[in-house]
Amino acid sequence: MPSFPALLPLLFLGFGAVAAMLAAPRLPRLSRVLAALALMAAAATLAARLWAPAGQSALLSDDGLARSAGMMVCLAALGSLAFLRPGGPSKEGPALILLASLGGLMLAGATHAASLFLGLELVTLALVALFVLPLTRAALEAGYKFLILGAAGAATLLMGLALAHAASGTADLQAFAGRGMMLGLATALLMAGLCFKLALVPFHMWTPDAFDGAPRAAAAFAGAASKIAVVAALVRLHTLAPPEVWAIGLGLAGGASILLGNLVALRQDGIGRMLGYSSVAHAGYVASTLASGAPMAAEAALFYIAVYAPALLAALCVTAALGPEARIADLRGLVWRRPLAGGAMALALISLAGLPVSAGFFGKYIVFTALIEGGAWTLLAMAIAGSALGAYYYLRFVALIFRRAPDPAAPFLPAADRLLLLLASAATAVLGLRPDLLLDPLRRLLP
Amino acid sequence: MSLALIAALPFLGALLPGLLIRSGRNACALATGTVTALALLMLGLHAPAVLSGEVIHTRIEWMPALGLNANFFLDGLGLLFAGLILGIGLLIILYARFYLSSRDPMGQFYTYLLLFQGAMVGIVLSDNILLLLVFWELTSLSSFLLIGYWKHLPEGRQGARMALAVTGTGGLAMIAGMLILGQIAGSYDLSVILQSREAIQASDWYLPALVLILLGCFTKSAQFPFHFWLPHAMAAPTPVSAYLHSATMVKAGLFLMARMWPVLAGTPEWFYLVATTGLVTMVVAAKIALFKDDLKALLAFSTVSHLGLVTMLLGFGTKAAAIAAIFHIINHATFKAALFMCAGIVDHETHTRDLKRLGGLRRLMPVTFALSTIAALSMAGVPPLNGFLSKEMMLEEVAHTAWAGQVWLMPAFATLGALFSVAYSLRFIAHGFLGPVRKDYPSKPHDPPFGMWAAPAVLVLLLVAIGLAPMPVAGWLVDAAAGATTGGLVHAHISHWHGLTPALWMSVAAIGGGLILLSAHRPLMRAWLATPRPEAKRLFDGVLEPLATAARGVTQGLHDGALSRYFAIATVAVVTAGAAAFLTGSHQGGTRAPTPVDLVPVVGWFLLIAATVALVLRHHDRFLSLVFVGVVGLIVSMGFAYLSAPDLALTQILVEVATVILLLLALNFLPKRTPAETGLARRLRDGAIACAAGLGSGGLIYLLMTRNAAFPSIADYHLANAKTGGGGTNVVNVILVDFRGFDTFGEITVLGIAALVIFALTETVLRAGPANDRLLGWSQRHRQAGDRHPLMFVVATRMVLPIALMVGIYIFLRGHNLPGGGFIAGLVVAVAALMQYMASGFGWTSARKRVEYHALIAVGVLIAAAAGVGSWFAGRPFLTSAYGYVTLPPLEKFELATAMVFDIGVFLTVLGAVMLALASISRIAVRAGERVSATPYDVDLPGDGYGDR
Repeated sequence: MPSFPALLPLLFLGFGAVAAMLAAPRLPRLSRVLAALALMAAAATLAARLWAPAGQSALLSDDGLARSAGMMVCLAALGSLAFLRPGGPSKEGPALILLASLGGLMLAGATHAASLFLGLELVTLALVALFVLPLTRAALEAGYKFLILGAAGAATLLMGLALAHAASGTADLQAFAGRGMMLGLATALLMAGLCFKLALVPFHMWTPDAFDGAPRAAAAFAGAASKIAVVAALVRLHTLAPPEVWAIGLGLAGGASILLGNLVALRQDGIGRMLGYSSVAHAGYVASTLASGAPMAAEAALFYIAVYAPALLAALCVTAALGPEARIADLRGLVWRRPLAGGAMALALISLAGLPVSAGFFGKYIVFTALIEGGAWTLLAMAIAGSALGAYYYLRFVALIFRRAPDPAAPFLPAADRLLLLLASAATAVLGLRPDLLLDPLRRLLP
Repeated sequence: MSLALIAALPFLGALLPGLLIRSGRNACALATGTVTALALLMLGLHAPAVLSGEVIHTRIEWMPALGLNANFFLDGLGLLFAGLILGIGLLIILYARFYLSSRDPMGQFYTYLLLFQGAMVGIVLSDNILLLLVFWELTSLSSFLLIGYWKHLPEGRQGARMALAVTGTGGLAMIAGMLILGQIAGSYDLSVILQSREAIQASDWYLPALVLILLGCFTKSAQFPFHFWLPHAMAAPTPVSAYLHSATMVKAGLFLMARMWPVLAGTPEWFYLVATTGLVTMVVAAKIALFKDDLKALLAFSTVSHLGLVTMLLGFGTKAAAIAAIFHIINHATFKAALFMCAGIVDHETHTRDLKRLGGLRRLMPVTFALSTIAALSMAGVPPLNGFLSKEMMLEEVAHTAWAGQVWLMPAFATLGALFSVAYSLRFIAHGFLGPVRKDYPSKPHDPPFGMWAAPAVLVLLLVAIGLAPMPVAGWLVDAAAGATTGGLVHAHISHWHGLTPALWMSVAAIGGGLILLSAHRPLMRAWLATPRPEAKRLFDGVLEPLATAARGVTQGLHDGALSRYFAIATVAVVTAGAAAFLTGSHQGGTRAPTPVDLVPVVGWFLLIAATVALVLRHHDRFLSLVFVGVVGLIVSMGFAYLSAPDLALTQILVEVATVILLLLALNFLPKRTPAETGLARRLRDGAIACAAGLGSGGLIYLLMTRNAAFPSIADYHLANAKTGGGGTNVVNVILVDFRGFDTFGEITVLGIAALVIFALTETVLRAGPANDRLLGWSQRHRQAGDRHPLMFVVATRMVLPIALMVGIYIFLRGHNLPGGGFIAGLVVAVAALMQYMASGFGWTSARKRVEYHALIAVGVLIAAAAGVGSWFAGRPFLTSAYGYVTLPPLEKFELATAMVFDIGVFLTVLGAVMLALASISRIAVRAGERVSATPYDVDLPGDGYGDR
């Protein structure tokens, strides 16, 4: 039995979701505050128990991986919440973010088919609702595609879990440590299902629409918090050393994602779409790292997605401030109009491009090291080519931010946005100088 | 500490120009210069120790876990480069103060310049390859800012991006190469790696690492075939060109080759890769330079050519060649930076850099002319200037080097390169300064103020001094740097006269040939312009264009927004993954004996398949497809009955009835046909994909059915415990309400939610909006029966209703022991009510509805929850059931279980859910024009046609 303190974060999020839902129709502000408090409380309890001895229950594991990933999920969710625009026809956003975070926490700790599936679906369904919140045509399209494709992914994943159960007799994820044709099939299907959630090629199709049509904050959750949770689940499965098809599949999907994501992002003028396609590529780096089979792959993957999150949050926050159809031209001279927004955006893009002095540079560096350590030369070549393409298009956007422009209109940034931009930039910059602040704890926390 | 400080100083100082620009341009330039001078001074303090052979280390633990430490070291090579960077930097700062106009944002410029300077110093002082990589990427970034400094010029932006794309890609490759070296040597510290020559050259990874690192060096130093970015980066302000593209950044690649020389050089791979690239670059770039009219383009290509020369020397892998390379690096930095600055002065004064529009500046700008001439003669390699000395050393080395056994090849091409070099150097003077004075300069030229020509003058003085007295002026530096490069003590012997060596003849031939070439420049130029040749920019675009096309193609081909395409791709991927897993796994036959085939299931199977195929073929007709769906459901329920699962069969058949009726009612308000939107080819493709996916899932199921699962079936447990544990003999019902009561609780909650969702969805249709407008304008377009609510049907359903309700209660009550239960009972009652809607119309029935279906669902879920919570009071976990036997006087003894309370909850929820769905549809119907009838027979009169009679 997990002890009560271990369940506290889940309880905070669950009850927080109920409270936020109740407050939403009449007191939308209170609903936001409640959601933020619940997320902070969950993050704080996780942080307080970060180094506590690990515990284990039938469904959930309470260990370093679960706690660290859970904490990152909560923080990323807080970031998304910060620029979730209030108003519009529906006010349930904060409650939905809490529900999705709850799913993320479950996913991070899942050791059992049931908890894995529950966590995934909780994230997915809450995200569908978040996507369609503005009830605009684009948002509905994004939500619809995510729902349908996600349902197909979930079905595939369930089939995989069922096959593993039939082959091994246990619904514990330990089943995937076995070998045999049935388990190979099970692994292939499970992986396909997880690829949907991580938006890896060829299961990435929902991403650009989500980043473009859905509220930016919802996209930020899908790109940051949700992916952290899925990566945590991948890492947990990875440590079980599943059948060979796991590494092969992840390698193929990862390599294809790196190339395709970066290639298509090359020509995008819409900031949302560019970030959407690039998020496919970034997920690809993570998957390739896990596929490399390097001993350090787990921490490298988590570190990469962890430094990706603040950059994405900052970029999407600025994009949200620029309006629903933000294009590259809207960035012109941003740094002179709104120094904070422009600076944060530039730093975020530099980090996404993997240039020093930003956290993204070390993300790339660690991924490259893992690929070399694992001897994955093809993937390394793809990662290099992808990064080169990436630098090319990200800097196109960066250059425009610094160009002097006659346009005096400055986007409005609420206080929460400004705080988020400050914190996200600080995280990106500090981790760009001292990546060990994150990497050392991760290294010691991971099994 | 002080080494780290030297590298950090420019970064810290980069804040100053921005702050001081308000106090004036002089203060700004002075502050920048002070920062640089301070760094140079600190470097100078270390010089004596370094020159005496010492290596100075500064170690700062940064991230030991990552192998990344802020370790710096200073040896001869580092001293040479750091001195060049800071020294020329100082001159550039002075020059830029006068070069930049008052409209240019000078603060920004100096900030970028200092950032760049810091990054460059960082590269040459790093003792850790990761640190070096950080600085390397930083130079790319800061040079991007510098090249794009004149943001109003589109070529500037393009040039900046091209430079960044090329050097950035190379830098990424280099990261990988360096990481490999680190893996082999077991440390990321350069001083350790430099000791591991044997291990590295013996490793299998030597070649990949070498290629990757050289990619980084070649792109940075603009070596063939990556030479094209450098001329395009010339859109930058001239101080930037002079600094980045002659003295520093492009030399970073050379520096790295020199730095890695002890571990990488000396192998045939190194020789052929590096020396060949250098030679080709030297000749090709020199030839292009000869035909450039733009002063800066001419200098840019000549830079590429000289960088090639140094690369070639480093590629030879011999000590003497390394000395020559180092010496030429010094010389090139002096004359080329001076020439760039002079070109900048000409541009600044005449407002043109086009040689065709220049000439005759000799008299108008005598100082500039003098400085340019000396520097150009040095570049041409005319004695006694320093360019001659290093060129002579180069030719000497070349004369002794064979390429693939061919002794003549290298000397011949090197002489050709030198010949071109003489020609373009002299052309710079002849076409720029000599000749008659023209009247049509865009601006009236004269010599600039002292501040502007002071910087090139210092360099020219230096180059003359080196030329006249090479050993005392530069010998010590060459010794130290070459010693550090080759890893041994070096005593260079630089002198003007070596006797009548082959090198001397080659030099003479180069100068003579160059003069001839210059005199024949005009016809040659015509021939050059007439011959088609690949334009480098076009090559780069040629690489980029397919990428862009591919991106467009992928976007249009894959991301056209069509969900069906997304689905097809995803399905193919899943099927492929499954097939791959199946094929790579070891397949063994099933362990279970197949069941013998009976006639009944075969018939059922055929019907099932026939109905499915018919459904696929006729799915455009929605009514017909509903009928086929009904057939499928019916056969499935018959299958359950055949396989002795009466509960399932009952449930299935009732669910079929309820859903088909609901669908039929909904179809009233939907188009009757699905339009065909795809062509035959597409349908065939989709059909094939669907078949593959179907076969895949069928195969999976077959796989599962032909073998026993790895765990014992739980059926036996349930059979054994249903009576004793749950008090019922109907195992299915006991499972539903007792063993898996928790699951059922979840399911009825979901059912309730689903019903609410249906309600909410129809709610949106009823709100104002396009859907609502369509609904209001709804008219039945198809023919309808004359009597929409036949009397016989109405009466019959009325009579059946109480009976159906009775059956419902009966089925509910017997559920615990015989087929039945709350779920089935709920469906039976719901179907009874559905019939009323069918027979009497929505209006009539809704008017008689006395129960809120929302409430029914809520009460159902609450009752089920209460039944579960009740067990808490008995001190048992949630949903623990208990049962007992009760005797009421007139009846037999019967069993009562708490599970029945739970079952009531199930009953109510199921009933409520079905009815709520129905009510939702009927609301739409009412909105679409159906009216509650007021006539005694309780028969609806439709709004259109019928009621008018």
